[in-house]
Amino acid sequence: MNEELIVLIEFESASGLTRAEIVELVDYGVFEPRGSGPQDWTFPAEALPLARAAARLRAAFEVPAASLALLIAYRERIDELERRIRELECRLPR
Amino acid sequence: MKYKDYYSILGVPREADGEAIKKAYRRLARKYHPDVSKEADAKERFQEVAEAYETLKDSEKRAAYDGLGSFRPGQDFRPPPEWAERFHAGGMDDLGGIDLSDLFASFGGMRGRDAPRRGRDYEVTVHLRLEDAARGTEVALELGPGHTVQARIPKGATDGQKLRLRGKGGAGPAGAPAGDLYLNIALHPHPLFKVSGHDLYLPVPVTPWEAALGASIEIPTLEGRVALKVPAGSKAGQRLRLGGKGLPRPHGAAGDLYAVLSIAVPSVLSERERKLFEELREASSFDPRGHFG
Repeated sequence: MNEELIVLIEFESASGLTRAEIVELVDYGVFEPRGSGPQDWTFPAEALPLARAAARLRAAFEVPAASLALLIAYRERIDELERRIRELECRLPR
Repeated sequence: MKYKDYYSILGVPREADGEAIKKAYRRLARKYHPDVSKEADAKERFQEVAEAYETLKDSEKRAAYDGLGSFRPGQDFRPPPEWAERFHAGGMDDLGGIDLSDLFASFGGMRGRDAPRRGRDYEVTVHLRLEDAARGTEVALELGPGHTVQARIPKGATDGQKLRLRGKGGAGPAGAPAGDLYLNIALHPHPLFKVSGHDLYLPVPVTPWEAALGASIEIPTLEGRVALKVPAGSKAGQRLRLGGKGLPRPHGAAGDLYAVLSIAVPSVLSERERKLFEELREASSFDPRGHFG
């Protein structure tokens, strides 16, 4: 994905999250936009797949933002562990 | 238009109440949600389940769906004529090629909520050969009947990566911007290289004497064969790094290639080889299990 930056309103419509949810997820440190406040926040486009996953999880399980933040943290941890497993599998003799 | 049996998708009888529908949906969402499920067809199954729930949880949509009658799943059917009129009002010219889910999605729009502000996003998995991912490539993706897009995959896309192609999704209604296309990159297994991020791993068998004495050998890379110096005293499992010989990155240095050594011994020994190994056994004091005590 390129290093495109997107503003809050586009981040909202592209992710499916509401502005309030995004603000809350930023509070929890899930997203780290540049800028001093929502009025001039910009998000890296790389954050969109994660934001879309958050929106899907919220829609499917009706979880509040605090639980979403936890789910995302666990998901990132699983991704990291899976990456580590793949790396270790690469070192195994065939 | 193809009929979908939303009740059987959720596994509930047609007379199920809202609570039973919600319960069935929750159970299936937990099982098939693509962000938590490892089932092979999780994404497709979840889409069906979500689509079914989206319609059946809403009493107005459910009544409209029930009004369609009952058909076999996949059976062609024609919605009542007044539906086409409603869709004309919603900006759609005809119902040909429209999916049942689009039909019900626009119900919300006609009631003045859930109105789509932009075209539909698509998310598809693209399977690539490692060589094509390294060079960059172009793929034709069929997003639906009569909707094919050409997508340029930049060089260095790797397994598990997600790419966003802005504006390559569905057309926006009434002048609204088009949706985006999200690509999940999946690499076909390569006969030689294993992939971890942008690094490549190549299992390299060496002979016991190459490992003991050191050797200069040739190994394949994505750009052709290169010489690799195996240091004297190399061990099985040792990784030798060739910087920058992995997958390229779009905005930075390429990954690395790791040669992972294994010691191969001939399964059949010639008379002379056997004699030399026996001689080595007698002459050597090397004890690799000395630490066992």
